[in-house]
Amino acid sequence: MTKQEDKGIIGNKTGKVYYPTIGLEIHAEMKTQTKMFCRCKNDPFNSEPNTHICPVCTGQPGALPFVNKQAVKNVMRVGVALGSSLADFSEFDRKNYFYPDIPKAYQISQYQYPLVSGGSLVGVELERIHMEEDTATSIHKTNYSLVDFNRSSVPLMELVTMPVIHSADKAIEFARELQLLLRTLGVSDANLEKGEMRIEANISVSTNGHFDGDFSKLGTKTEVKNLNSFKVVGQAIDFEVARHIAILEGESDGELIQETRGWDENKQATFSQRSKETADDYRYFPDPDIPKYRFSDLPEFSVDVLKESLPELPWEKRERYKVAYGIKNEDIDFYLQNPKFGEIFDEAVNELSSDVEYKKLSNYISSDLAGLQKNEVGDLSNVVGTELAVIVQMINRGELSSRGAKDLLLEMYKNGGKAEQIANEKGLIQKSDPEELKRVIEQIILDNPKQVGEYKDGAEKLLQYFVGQGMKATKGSANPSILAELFREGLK
Amino acid sequence: MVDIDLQDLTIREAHKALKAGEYSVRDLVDAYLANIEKDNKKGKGINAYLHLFTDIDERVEIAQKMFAEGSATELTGIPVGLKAIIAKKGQITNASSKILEHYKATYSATVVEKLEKQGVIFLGSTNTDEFAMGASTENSAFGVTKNPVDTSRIAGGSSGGSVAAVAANMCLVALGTDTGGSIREPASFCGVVGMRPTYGAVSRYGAMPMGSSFDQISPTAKTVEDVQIVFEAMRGTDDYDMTVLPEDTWQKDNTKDKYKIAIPRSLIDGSSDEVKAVFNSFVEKIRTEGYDVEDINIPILKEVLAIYYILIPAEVSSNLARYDGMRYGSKVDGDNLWDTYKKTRGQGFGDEVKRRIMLGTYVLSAGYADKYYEKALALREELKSELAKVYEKYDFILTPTAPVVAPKIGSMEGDPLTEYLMDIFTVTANTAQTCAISIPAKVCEGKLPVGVQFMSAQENDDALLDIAKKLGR
Amino acid sequence: MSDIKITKGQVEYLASLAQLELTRQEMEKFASQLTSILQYVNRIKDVELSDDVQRNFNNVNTFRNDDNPHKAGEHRDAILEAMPETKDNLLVVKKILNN
Repeated sequence: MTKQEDKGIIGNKTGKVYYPTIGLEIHAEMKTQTKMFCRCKNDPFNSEPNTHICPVCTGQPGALPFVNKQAVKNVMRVGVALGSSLADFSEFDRKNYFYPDIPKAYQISQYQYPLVSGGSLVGVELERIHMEEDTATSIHKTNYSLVDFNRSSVPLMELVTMPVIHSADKAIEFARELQLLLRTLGVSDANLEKGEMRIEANISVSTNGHFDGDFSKLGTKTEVKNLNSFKVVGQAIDFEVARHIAILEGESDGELIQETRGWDENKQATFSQRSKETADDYRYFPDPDIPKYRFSDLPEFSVDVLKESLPELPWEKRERYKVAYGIKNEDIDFYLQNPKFGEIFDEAVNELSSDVEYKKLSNYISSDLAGLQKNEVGDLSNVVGTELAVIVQMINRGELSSRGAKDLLLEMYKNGGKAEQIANEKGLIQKSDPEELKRVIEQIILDNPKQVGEYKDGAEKLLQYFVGQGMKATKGSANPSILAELFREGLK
Repeated sequence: MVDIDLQDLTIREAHKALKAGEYSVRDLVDAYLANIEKDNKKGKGINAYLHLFTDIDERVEIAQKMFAEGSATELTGIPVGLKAIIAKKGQITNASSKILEHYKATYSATVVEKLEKQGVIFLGSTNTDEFAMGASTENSAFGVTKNPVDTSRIAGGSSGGSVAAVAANMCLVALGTDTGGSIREPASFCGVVGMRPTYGAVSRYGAMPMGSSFDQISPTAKTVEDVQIVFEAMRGTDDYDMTVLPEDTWQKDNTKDKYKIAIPRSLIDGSSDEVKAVFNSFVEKIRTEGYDVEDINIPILKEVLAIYYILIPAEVSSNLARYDGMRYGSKVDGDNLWDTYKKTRGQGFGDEVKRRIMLGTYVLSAGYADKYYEKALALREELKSELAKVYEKYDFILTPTAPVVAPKIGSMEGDPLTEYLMDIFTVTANTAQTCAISIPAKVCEGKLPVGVQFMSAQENDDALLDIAKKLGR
Repeated sequence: MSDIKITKGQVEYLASLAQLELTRQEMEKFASQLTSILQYVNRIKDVELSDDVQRNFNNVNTFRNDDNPHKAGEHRDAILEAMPETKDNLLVVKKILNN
C-alpha cells in the first residue's frame, strides 16, 4: 500500500486507488448541576453506587421526565460556536430498546428535529448535534453484571459529522478541537478516560473518490466503538482502513459487512462485536411526556443572546496570540490546553508593549513556570500576571539576570508577593549604575596589575576574568554586560 | 357503631357532620370498611378492591387531628378509593398485573400527595383492567369487578373497581384514570358520575401510563358536586409533569346561562335500542327545559376509534417496556439475560396487554410507521381542528356514554374488537385531549343504568361541570 | 382491507422486538386477532388529510431550572428495596453479553 495523503491509497495488487471516508459520532456528557430529566445531582463519578437516583432516572412506574433548561442551552451554545443553525421547532423522541442500563427500556433522544444542524469544525462539516440522556453504568463480573444508576439520565449531547474525513490524523484533530471547545465553553469536562467524551468512527473505503453527497458511492461501512483515547482513535481508523483495503484487494480472507466493531488494545486490532439477535428497529416516536419547543418564542435561546454568552473560542484565541503577539505555535497550544497559564499570559501581556517582551514572557510561562508547576511545591495562583510582566520588564532593563529571574519566579510560585520587593529582599537586582560599578572596577584594576598588563598586551579574553571578578565583588548583583563595557573603557 | 346513611352521602354533608361532631372520621371510615368487609365475606363479592392500605389508622388519626386543630378542609377524613395504577408510597400498587403483583410504590403520585395533604383517607387499591387496558375489568389478573346493580354483569372498565366501589358504598368518591373512557363507561354502567378532565388539567406523575398523551386521572362519585370538589383539589401545575397546562389558562370563567348543544346523530345510530331510547328521552327532556339542541354531522368522529387504536398501542408498547423484572416487579429467571426478559414479560403480562404491545410494536416498526402511526398522528390533529370548529358554535357535544348497557360477564371473551367498539363515544375526548363527563340519565325502575356524555373544548371543564350539575344530581 | 394479514412469523418478530415469550397457541391467536384489528384500523388509509391543519400547541417551551438538586440518597432506600436482587447497593442482573 502506498499512501498519497488525501489523494487516496493505491492497492498493492490491483493498483486501484482507495479513498478512506470517515465520519465521527461523538457523545459528551454535559456539565450541569442536575440530571437531564430529574433533579438528581449530575455527579456520576464521585459518589457511592446508586446515590443520585430517583423514581424518574430508575424508570419507576408512573414517573415522568422534566427537561433541564441549562442542558438544552449548553448544546445550543456549542451549536452557536460552531456556526450551526439552531432549531426553531424541536422535540424529544423515544428510542426503544431493551438493556439493563436503560431503565425505561427507551432512551429519550432526538430523531427528526435535533437542536442543532450543520456548522463545521477544523474544516469538517457537521450533520447535527442532538440532546439525549446517558445510560446507567454496568459492571461486568464473571457470572453476573451490576448496574449503577448514578449516571442514568445525565445530559448527553451527540454530535455527528458528515462523512468528510479522510485520515486518522484529521479525525484526531477534529476530536481534540471539539474537546477543547467543550472545555472552553464550560459545558463538559470531556475526559475520554472517564467516558465523559466518547468517540465512535464510521469507516469505509471506496474507489469512487471522496464523498460528494451521494451515500451510495461510499463503500461498506463499519462502526468502531469504545475508543477511549485519541491515540486509539487513530490506531483503530488506520487498522480498519487497512483491513478494508486488504479485503477489497483480495489480500485477506475476511468479509466486509456493515457491522459494529470494538478495539482490542492487546491485539492492536478491531474485532467484530457479535451482531444482535434481531435487527435494530428502535421505533422512534415523539415522547408524549414532553411538550414541543418553539425556540423563536424564547429570546434567551436566540443566536444573538447565545453568542454573547460565549467566551473567546479556541480558534479566536489562537488567531489573537498569533497576530497580536507573534508567539510560538507550541506556546499557543500550551495556553489553549492549559487555560490557567493562558490567563496568566493574558494578564501579563497587557502590561507589555514589544514583541521581544511578549516572546520573553511566553517563554517564562511555557517553560519556566510550567516546569515549576511540574517539579516544585507551590501554587500557580500565587503568580500574578501583572507581576510576571514586571519581571520581564526588569530583565529587559537589565535589572535582573536570567538566573535571578528564575530564583524570583520560584519564590513567587512558592510564596507569592511583588516582583520588585522580592528582588530587593533577596538582593537579586543587578547593579547597572555605572558610577557605583566604576569604583568596584577601579579597585579590581588596582588589585590585578599582572592581568591588566597581559590584557593590554593583547590577551583580550582576560576581559571575562575581570567580569568574573566584578561579579564576585558585587556578589552577582552586577549586570555582566555593563561590567564588560566598563572594564573595556577602564583598561584602555 | 354509628349508623351513617352512606347511600346518599355527599362530601359536603359528610364534612358538615364531621365538623359538627355527629360522627368521627373513624366512624365514617369504619362504615365504609364494614361494607367492604361484608362484601368480601360473601365470597362472591363485587371485587372492587384488590387490597386495603396498611396506613388507614394513621391517616384517620391525622384527619381527626386536623378537625381538632381547625385545619380541616372539605376533603379531610373523606374515604377515597384509589385505582391500582396510581402510586401510593409503600403500598402495593400492582396495576392488576402479575408482573407487579407485590410491587410497593417507591413514591406517591402527585394527586395522592395533594389529597393526603388535605386529610383524605385512601382506603385501598381498586381493581382495574391490567394496566388500564380494557373496558370491563375482565382483563384484571385478579378477577373481574362485578356490577353492583346486577352482579351477573361487568362493572365496566378500566376503572371498574373505583366506580363499583362508589356505587356500592365502599368509598365516598374514588380516583380512576380515563384514557379512552375508563372512568365514564363504568360510571354509565353503574349509574354514577365520572369526569375526564382536559388533558393537562391534572398531573399524571405517579399514574402508570397507558397512553401518555391520552391519560388523565379522573374522579368518580355519585354527584357532580363531589366530582368537582375532587377535581378542583387535584388540578394544577406540578414540578414533576411537563404536560400539565400552564396555570394562567385556567383563569377564565367559561360558564354561561344558556348553552348550545350538538348531537352527532349518525354516530349514535349504531347503539342498542335500549340505549337509544333512554338517550332520546333525555334529549327530549332537556329540549323541553329550553336547551338549544341541534343534530350535526362530524364525519371524522367515525374514524376516531381507528386513530385511537393505532396511537394507543404505539404508546403502550413503549410505556410498558420498563416492566422487565430488572429493577422491580416479578422476575422470572431464564437461562440468560434475554431469556429472563422474555420469560418475565411473557408470563407477567396478560393477553390484552401483550396484544396491545405487539400491535404498537407493529405500527411503529420500520416500514409500517408511515402507514399507521404517522397517519394516525396527522388525523389526530385533524380531529382537534375539526372539533375546535364545532366548539366555536356549540358549547357541548352530547352522546350516550356507551353504545350498550353493561354486558354480561364473559360475553366479550376472545373478541377484543367488540370490546374496543364500546369506546366509540368516549375515545373522542381523549384523542382530542378535551374534557368530558358521564352522568346517569333517568332510568325506569328495574332497568340497567344508561349514562349520557357531555364533551367540551379544552380547558372548558368548569362549563362542563356546570351543565352536568344543572342536568344531573 | 383483506390484503392485511399478520403471519405467525411476523408475530414472532414482534414478540422478539418486545421481549415477550409466547406459546405456540398464543402466536396463532395473536396472528388472527392482530389481523382483524389491523383490518379495522386500516380504514384511516382512505381518510384524506386537509392541507390547512395547523398544529395547535397549547403547551410549549416547558423547562425546569437547573437547580435544587435532590438530597444525595433521598430516594435510594425505597428504590433499592424494590429491586429483586442487589449487591453492595448495586442492582444484580444476569450477565450482560453483547446481545
